[in-house]
Amino acid sequence: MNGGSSAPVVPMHPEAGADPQTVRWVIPAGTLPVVGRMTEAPDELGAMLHSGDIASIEVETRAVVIRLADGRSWSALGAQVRDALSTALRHPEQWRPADEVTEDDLLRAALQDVLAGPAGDYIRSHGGEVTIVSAHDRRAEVRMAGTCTHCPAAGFTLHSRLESELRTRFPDLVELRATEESAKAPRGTWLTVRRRRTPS
Amino acid sequence: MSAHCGPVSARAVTGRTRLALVGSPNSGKSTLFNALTGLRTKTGNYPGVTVARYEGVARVGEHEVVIEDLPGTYSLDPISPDEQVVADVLDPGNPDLGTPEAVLVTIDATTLRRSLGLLAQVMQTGLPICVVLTFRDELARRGGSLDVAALRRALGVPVVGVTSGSRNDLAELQSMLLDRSAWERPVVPPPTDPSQRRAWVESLLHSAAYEVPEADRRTRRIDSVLLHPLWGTLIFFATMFVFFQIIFTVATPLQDAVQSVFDRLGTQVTEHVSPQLLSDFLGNALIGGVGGVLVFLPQIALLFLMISLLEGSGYLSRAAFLMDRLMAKAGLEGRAFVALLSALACAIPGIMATRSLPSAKDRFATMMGAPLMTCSARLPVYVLLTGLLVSPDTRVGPFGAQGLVMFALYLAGAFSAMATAWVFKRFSSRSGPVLPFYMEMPSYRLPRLRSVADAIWSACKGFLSKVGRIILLVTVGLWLLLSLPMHSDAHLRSAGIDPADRTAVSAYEVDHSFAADIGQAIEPVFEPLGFDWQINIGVLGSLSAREVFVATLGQVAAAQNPDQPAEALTHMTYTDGPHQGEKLFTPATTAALLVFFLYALQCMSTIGVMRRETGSWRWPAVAFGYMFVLAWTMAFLTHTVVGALT
Amino acid sequence: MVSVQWDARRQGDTAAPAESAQDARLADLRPGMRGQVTDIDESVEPSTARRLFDLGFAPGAEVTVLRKAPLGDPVVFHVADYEVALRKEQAAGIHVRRTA
Repeated sequence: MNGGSSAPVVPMHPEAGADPQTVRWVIPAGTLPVVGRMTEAPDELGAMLHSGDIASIEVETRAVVIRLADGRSWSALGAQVRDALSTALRHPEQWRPADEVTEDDLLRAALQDVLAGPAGDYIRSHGGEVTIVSAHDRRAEVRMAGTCTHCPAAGFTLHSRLESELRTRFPDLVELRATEESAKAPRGTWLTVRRRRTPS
Repeated sequence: MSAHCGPVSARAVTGRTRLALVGSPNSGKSTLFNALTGLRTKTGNYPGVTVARYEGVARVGEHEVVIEDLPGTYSLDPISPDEQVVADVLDPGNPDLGTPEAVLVTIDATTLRRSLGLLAQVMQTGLPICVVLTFRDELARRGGSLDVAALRRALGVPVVGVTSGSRNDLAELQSMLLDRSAWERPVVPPPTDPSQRRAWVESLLHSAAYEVPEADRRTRRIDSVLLHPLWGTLIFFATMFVFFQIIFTVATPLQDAVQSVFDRLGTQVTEHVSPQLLSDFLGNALIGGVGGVLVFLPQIALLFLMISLLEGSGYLSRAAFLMDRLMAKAGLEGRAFVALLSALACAIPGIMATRSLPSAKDRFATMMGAPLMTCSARLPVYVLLTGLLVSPDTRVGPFGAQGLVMFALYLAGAFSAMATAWVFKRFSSRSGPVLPFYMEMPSYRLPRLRSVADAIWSACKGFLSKVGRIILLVTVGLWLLLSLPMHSDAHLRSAGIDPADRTAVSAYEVDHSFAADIGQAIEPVFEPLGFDWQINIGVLGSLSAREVFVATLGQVAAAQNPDQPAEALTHMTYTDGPHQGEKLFTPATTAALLVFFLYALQCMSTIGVMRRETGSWRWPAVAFGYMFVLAWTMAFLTHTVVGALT
Repeated sequence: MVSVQWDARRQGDTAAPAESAQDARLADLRPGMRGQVTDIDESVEPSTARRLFDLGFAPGAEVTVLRKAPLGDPVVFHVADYEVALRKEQAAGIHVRRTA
């Protein structure tokens, strides 16, 4: 059906969600210019949202979380949703979020995604705590607290974990800044990361 | 009642859990099968096709799980009978073969990008699946990486990493086998559309942070020598020379040892047991027959030692790669070379070596050709007849004529084997699409001792249990034909034979045996070739093994030393018919006999092993039939031509 | 590695109309050359085409020619992270765009 001449198929795969009605469709970061809950989606996917087969569509930086209406099952509708989503991902401009989404929102969502994921888990498992201070103009800032501040590996942790993870979700990232919350005077640590070739 | 009565019935064993093992060739599938089932395996055939069926029982705690090792495949879109079997077994809608309750899919961690395609197809069957990830240690050695937990989450099925030889990994897998209700199922099965499937694979690899270095440096370095146009070719011929030497030369003293043990045992029995008939039966037929089976074991063990070393190290693919162009002329592929080479020692290992061929069509085309290669059992016959045909002093230029005749026989055998394979390949390829040729070049790996031992053991076990019975029966049957009916001393005396003269008695017995009756009955068939009933007895006797021809003929000719009957044979004459009194072994008849032995399937062991490898009597019957017609025709032509020249 | 392939494919799609000197058959490439699979020829039997796809010769895939057998056939290729030998007959059915 998706012949070689048309646009390439966006890489994606389904993962089980929090409940049986929900499936996380993992997609490459940057596929969609929107995050949050969708009110409109292209073609068949939009039709399924309006017909009531799909209860909700939530876009994350690296996934589209689709919840089927109660009474509908993934075993029956799975292939149909997959095909609809595959087609819809080729028209990123036709997705409509419930709230206006800016690039800052995308960056913030990406950062939240990172902190909620394995990198955040790693920091928390070492007694640390990271919070988002700001996210705008392709720059983000986080505040590190807890044992992080005493940890000599803090800089390394940021570099190796947060930065690389954030960049895969938000390729246009300019820099990630971290401030340490300590008893002494706040000392800013700028971790200016080498800008890679950014796709235009 | 099943119409197909293979050793493993078409219907699977019921009552126990059945799992199927699916994977690409070289994915460590058979190693896993052996590790799970130990030596509790049995082999058979799928009904109607030349595809071996391997089943084994894995004991986990107190439970038994039947595991079926399906043929290696790259896809569930079948293009060969072997792959058709995989597709059929996994198809819940196929009633002929029991559908397994769950499937284990072996995936080589270093070829994940390709292997996930097959996994996608297996997942589409809807059967419960557990992925067994192999060669993770190799991925690490090459500097690659893979997040197994992320892969498991992304696939939606359990993924167990197994490092070969690790008991912990195996234990984890075994406990998974018991608790199949805990296996997660994918929420949505993978797409069937090719480009969507490719996108699915890309997405999985990305999520699992899969990285594999473009080149396995070690393999590339070794290949730059082993596949070098000059050095690679030289090393190939050296390897094949050693290979052949081992199954030919090294096996011989071992086989002689087995033979002599049974000979001594037989002699002991004949000397100490009475009456005569019973002692002869025990000593010659039974013990001789068992010896005739066991004598093959050293060769088979050595063959499978060599093949599993070549295969396990990855060199077999390279050897096949180097020989492919040549073998393509016979419509075969490079891997058939090893089988044909082995057949030079003996057709039994030659036919068993065809197992390394992935395509069933190539397998049986090679099997049909292999018995024409000049095996070591033909050698004594050739030596005897060549000696009758040309004197040792005759020279053609700087070469002895005897040597040239021998060389021509070897060459004719090899050429005929290739030609036959070509014909059968052409004939079989008319049905079904032409198979494309492709061969994975796996990374060089150290063969695992355990796998090598398993391969040798199962080959020997299979040969003994399936082929041994056939050889034993034929040996006993032929002995009865050659020895019965019994003659009393009074009878012998009235015929003018001194019962004390063993040579004369044995000659008289053979000349008046049932075999002689058969020899006379089939005389019209062989008369155009110049064979009389005496030669026919020898031909009949050689069915148990070709070299027996020499001793049988010696016995018929009442030679003082039946093992060196040349002298006695030169004096043999036609006893009746139009040529009565004329010399029997004229150049025309001798040459015809040589050619007959070149082509005829005078070997029940070969027929037995063909029966075992193809799972039916059809192919052995075809082989016996075509080879007999070929042998008769070629011998007739030879007899006519040589008769006209001399 | 994955993103490299995506980028390459996107470039390939934009470059599609300008296929001329770069369009070749896989069998024509010499050892050391690289190409990107564009299509399987229509003359190839569907079952064979499907198998080539399953072996990794899918549109967009990068193929490197590694070495030829001493008699010129078959040829070893690097595709989809592994090495596989094809005969020229099969390689001739695979359209590629030379990339190196």
